This record gives sequence, structure tokens and C-alpha cells, in this order.
Amino acid sequence: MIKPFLGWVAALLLCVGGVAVHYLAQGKHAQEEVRQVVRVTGLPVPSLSVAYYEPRVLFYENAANPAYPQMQIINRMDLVYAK
Amino acid sequence: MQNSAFFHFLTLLLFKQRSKHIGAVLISVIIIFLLSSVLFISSSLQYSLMDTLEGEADFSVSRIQAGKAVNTPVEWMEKIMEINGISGLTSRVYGRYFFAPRERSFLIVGVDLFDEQNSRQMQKLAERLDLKAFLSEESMLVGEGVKKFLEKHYYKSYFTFKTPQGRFKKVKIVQMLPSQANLVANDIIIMPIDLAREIFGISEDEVTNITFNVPNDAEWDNIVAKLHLLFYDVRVVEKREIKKAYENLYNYKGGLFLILYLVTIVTFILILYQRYSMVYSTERKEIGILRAVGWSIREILKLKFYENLIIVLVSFLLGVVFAYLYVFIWDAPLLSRIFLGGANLSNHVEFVPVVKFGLLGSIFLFYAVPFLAAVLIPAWKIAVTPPKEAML
Amino acid sequence: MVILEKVSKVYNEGTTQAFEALKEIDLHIAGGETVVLSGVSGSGKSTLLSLIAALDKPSSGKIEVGGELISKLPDIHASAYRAKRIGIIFQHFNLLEALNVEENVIVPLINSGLKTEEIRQKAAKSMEMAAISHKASQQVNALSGGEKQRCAIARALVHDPELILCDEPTANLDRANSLKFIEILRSLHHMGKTVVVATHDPLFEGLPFVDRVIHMEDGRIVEPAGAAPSADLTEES
Repeated sequence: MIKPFLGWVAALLLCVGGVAVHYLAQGKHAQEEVRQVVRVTGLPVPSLSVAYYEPRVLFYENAANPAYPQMQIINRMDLVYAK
Repeated sequence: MQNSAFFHFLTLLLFKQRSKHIGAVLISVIIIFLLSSVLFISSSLQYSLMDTLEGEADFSVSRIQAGKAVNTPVEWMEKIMEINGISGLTSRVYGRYFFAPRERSFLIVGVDLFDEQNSRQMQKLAERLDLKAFLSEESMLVGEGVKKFLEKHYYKSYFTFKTPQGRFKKVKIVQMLPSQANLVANDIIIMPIDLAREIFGISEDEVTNITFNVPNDAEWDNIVAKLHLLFYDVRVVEKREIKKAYENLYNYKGGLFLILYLVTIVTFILILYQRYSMVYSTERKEIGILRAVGWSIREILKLKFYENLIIVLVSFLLGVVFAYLYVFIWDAPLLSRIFLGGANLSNHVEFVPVVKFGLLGSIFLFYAVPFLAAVLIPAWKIAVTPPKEAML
Repeated sequence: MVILEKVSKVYNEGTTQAFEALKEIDLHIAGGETVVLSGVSGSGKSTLLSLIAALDKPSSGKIEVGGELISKLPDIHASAYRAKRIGIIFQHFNLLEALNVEENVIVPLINSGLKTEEIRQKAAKSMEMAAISHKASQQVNALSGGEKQRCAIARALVHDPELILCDEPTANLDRANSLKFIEILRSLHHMGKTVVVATHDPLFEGLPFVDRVIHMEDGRIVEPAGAAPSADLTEES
């Protein structure tokens, strides 16, 4: 029963190999388009449509402005999403 | 080879009893697939965002009034320039344009196209773009989400913005930004800086914020202190804070999935353990027969170990391969919606292939070890039983 | 060949459900002998066979097979003993249902260190001896009772054991197949194998190749075990 087993293993390894080739060949080329947009806009912020609220980040503890410690903390998410 | 008979028998048993194993393989593949997909999505997003952050300035400065960020005076730039250790001082004009009828917003970014570097970058970004024509008529480049949204609302070639002064600005849609950049560009509109100022009502002596670099990071805290002394109504955002926010950004949902995974895997392992411990299971009889014909406990455990190791490896590899195909080839159709949410404009993000092998290795260990334990412990218990009892 | 001295077996020892299956059994079986253990169900025949096969350990007493003390063997040695020296045929055949005849027959040889080709050859020889070669690639769950028994015989003989133990081998067979089984036992006897059969099947009474019939009742031997000629006691297998 070794031959059929080796056949299936070979098929699985082929899939893994295909994935590896794609990973190495594709590389980070898609990232280049993102970089290009950021070079033009100067804003590396994710679009609002990929956003969701991160409660821990919202309750950011350090004072935003040390000169005015009583002042209400600014919503941290605006620095991420350019609100 | 001495071991080839054992290996032959091992693969023989696996094939002949494949219906017994198919359930465990399927469930394992699904669990690994889901977890790996989540891992791939969050790693890809984090990588992309962190990578783009590399180009961000170390500091961005804006004015605050009554606790809110407001337009920043251009004259601040001269004062900031006087601080030692600062380089790359520049200003940005951008903002959110709210489309009230549908409660959606676009991120409008003004670009000074008379700056040589900016115009070169713009040309690289939109290869077919005729810059002269772009500047001669009020034009804009839009992200894929914006384009689709506007088309849906019958704005095919032009869109009319309403300025704070109540005037209308009709702007031509020249080209769409590449969809591979949807992570940042989906809701973006790029237009000449003067047009952006007009739409937002930002005068010439104001900007949205000012950015600069401080090459010596030991000076960063000093610079922040100096800025606060220079301007009492300043808000300073450091790149390291944004980095931290990005690091946390996709961990929340990742954490939720991890808890779900732990619950699922514990349930699965308990079911496996139960199945292999059953008094009248075929597993029990099989082990009893092997013991009766002269197999030692060690030999039986070796058989069970390798049998299940093959199942574990095959399931894991299949799960990871399917997850890779699902996320990086098909862009994770359902899961990306769950993970990213559908706020503002609809977005189709293409994920950059990023594989964190360390994390995959941890997933494998957290799956393989409990799986093997759930199988080997009952097998050992049966193997130490007198064979006659086991064969009953 | 097989020496049992004051062998007892108590199940659930130390509890209120303690049951003495064997009571101080003394038995000597010479090499090459064919011995039938007869008695009704519950007389202790199967328990005695289990102890000789080292499938279980006696509560007290000594068991020696071919000069080797097997009553207190650790598992790894007991398994090696069964793998090399014993062939067992069970009442319910105890075959691996997922495999075919040939695959079942080779099971005892998987860990023997032999090459796959050698194992196949031994299996072929054994299947021929058991007259089941023509069903080599048939799944065992598609075999008749007689064929399953012959497959079990082939498995028991594949590693050329010196001692063959049969526990109620004809209990699930019809008369015709039982007679066929007895024929195989006869040929094993002529090959010089030591055979011990535990049965209450009357077909085994008066068989010419059976050297002795030992009657058991209530865990004891009720008819004299009959010591084998003294020369045989020192026989090493």
C-alpha cells in the first residue's frame, strides 16, 4: 500500500510547493502599489472601510497634552484613521 | 529495510481505515483553516500598515482648540524650523468630506502638483495620467470604493462638492487608483492642493497639520517638550504611537478567534478521547488482536503514534494550504468582511502574502500535541489491558 | 515442552467478587504432543491456554515453556515470546476486519525484522498450508466461518511457532468445516508441532493423533494429567 500513499503525499507536497512558489514569486509586489499611493498622499492611514474600533486603544491613558493634563483625551482612533 | 514492513503496514491500515479517519481529518482541516486564515489576514494587514508607516514622518503637529484638532497656522512651520535636529519639514492638507445623503465620507488629500517630486510620484502612480490636462481642468483621482460609490449614485465622470461657503465645485473623475492599494486608497480622493483648500474652506495661511523628522531618536522627548513650550495649543502625534496603535489594531478580533479556537479544539479533543476510549470500539479489539499475536505495548503505541502523526500532518498542511489559497488568492470573501467590517464604503482588500512561520509552528504544536495525547492515552490504556479482555 | 507447577488463577483477587478460575494445576506436555483439554464452559480451559500463551499472568505457581519461565515475564518479553514461539487460534477468529486474508496473515511478522519480500513468501507458504491461498486478496469480512478459521490458522503458523494453542476452534464452525480443521491439526501433529486444543466439541473424542485428553472441571484437572516420558521433560525447543 505504499505506492498510493506516496502518490497522495506527492500531491500534497505539490500543493505546498505551489503555495511556496506563489509566496516567493508574488513577494510583496502588491505592497508596492500601497507604497506608491502613500508617497503621493503622505498619509499612511488605513481607509475607514477597513476600520473597526479597538476599545483598548480608545481608552488611551496618557494625557495628550502635558501642558493641559485636565483636558479631555482626544480620540486616538483619529490619528489612525485620519478622521 | 527493517522498517519498510512496518511502514507498509502503517500505510495499509491508514488507507483501509480511511473512513474512520476522515471525520477527524475534516474537522481538523476546518479548524486549522479558520485559524490560519485569521492569522494570515491579521499578519498581512499588520505588515502592510507597518510597511507604509515606514514612510511616515516621525512627528506630526496640529493645533487643538477646545479639545478638538483644528487647522494649523502655516507660520508655525517657521518656528518649528528653528528647533535644532529637525529635518524634512512639510505640511499636509487633507480632510473628510461627508456625503450627507448617504452618510458616507471620502478622504480628500490635496497634493501640490507644482512640486517636482510630487508630480513625478503622481505620474508613477497613475501611469496614463496627463498631468497638464489634470491641472488645466479641476480633476481628481479616486479610490476604487469612491468610484463604485459615485457610479452607483450616477456620478460617472464628475462629482459636485459643496464648499463651506455654499458654492458648488464640479470636479472631473480622471482615473481610478490601483485596487491593490485599497487598504489605504479605497476611500481616497487625490486632487490639487488648491482645490482641496477650496472644498474644505482652508485658507492659504492654514494647513491640516505639519510633519517633520528627527533623525536622532534620543532627542524625541526633548523635541516634544520644546514644541509644547513653543505652542500652548499644540497636539503632537509621534510615529511610535501610531505604530503601537497599529500593532493593537487587529489583535482584538484575533484574540476573539483564538478563544473560539481554544474552545473548539478542546471540544474536538474531548470527542476524540471519548471515541478512542469506548469500551466496544473497533480500536480496542484491534489493539487486543495485535497484542495477542505478539505485538508489544511499545510497538502498538509506535503504530498509533505514526498513524496519527500522519493524520495530524496531512490535516495541518491541508488546512494551511486552503487558508493560503483562500486569503491570498481569493482574498478571503466572507472572512474579510467579518474581520474588517463594512464601515463607510465597501472595500475589496487584496492581502499581501505574509506568513509568520513562528505562529504557524505554535498553531501546529497546540493542535498536534493535544490530538496525539487524546489518541495515545486511550490506546495505551487499552494496550496495557490483558489482550483477552480487550478482544471481547 | 510445557510445564505447569501448582498454577492458580484468581480473578478480581482481594474483592468480594473474587473468582478462582484455576486451582493448583500441575501439567506436563511434551514436545510434539497433541493434547486436548476438555470440559464444560467455565471449567478453566481457556484460562489455562491464556496463561500458557502469556496473555495473562498466573496468581501463583510456575509456568515453563521450552525451558523459559513465562509466568512472570514483563510485557516486552511476553510479546516477543508470543511473536516467536506461539501460534494462537481463537474461537471468534479475531481477525482485523479492515484487511484482507494475506494482510491478516502477515501481521505477526511486521516487527520481526524481516524484509517485505520474505514476509510475503512466508505468508504464501502459511496460506497454502491452511488451504486459503485462493482467497489471499479477499476481505476477511466477506469470508465464510470456515475460511475465516483457515485464515486464522495461516496467521498462527506464519512465523513457524513450536507451540500452537487453539481455544474452542470449532465452536463457530459447522461439521464439515470442523472436520477440515481437524485434518489441519493432524498435519500439524505430523509436522512435529506441539498442539494444545481447548474444546468441548465431541468431534475431538477418540481422534487417533491426539496423544492425551485432559478433562477439567471447576478449575481442576479431574483425570490424571499423565506425565510425559522423562526424556521429553528435558527437551528444549
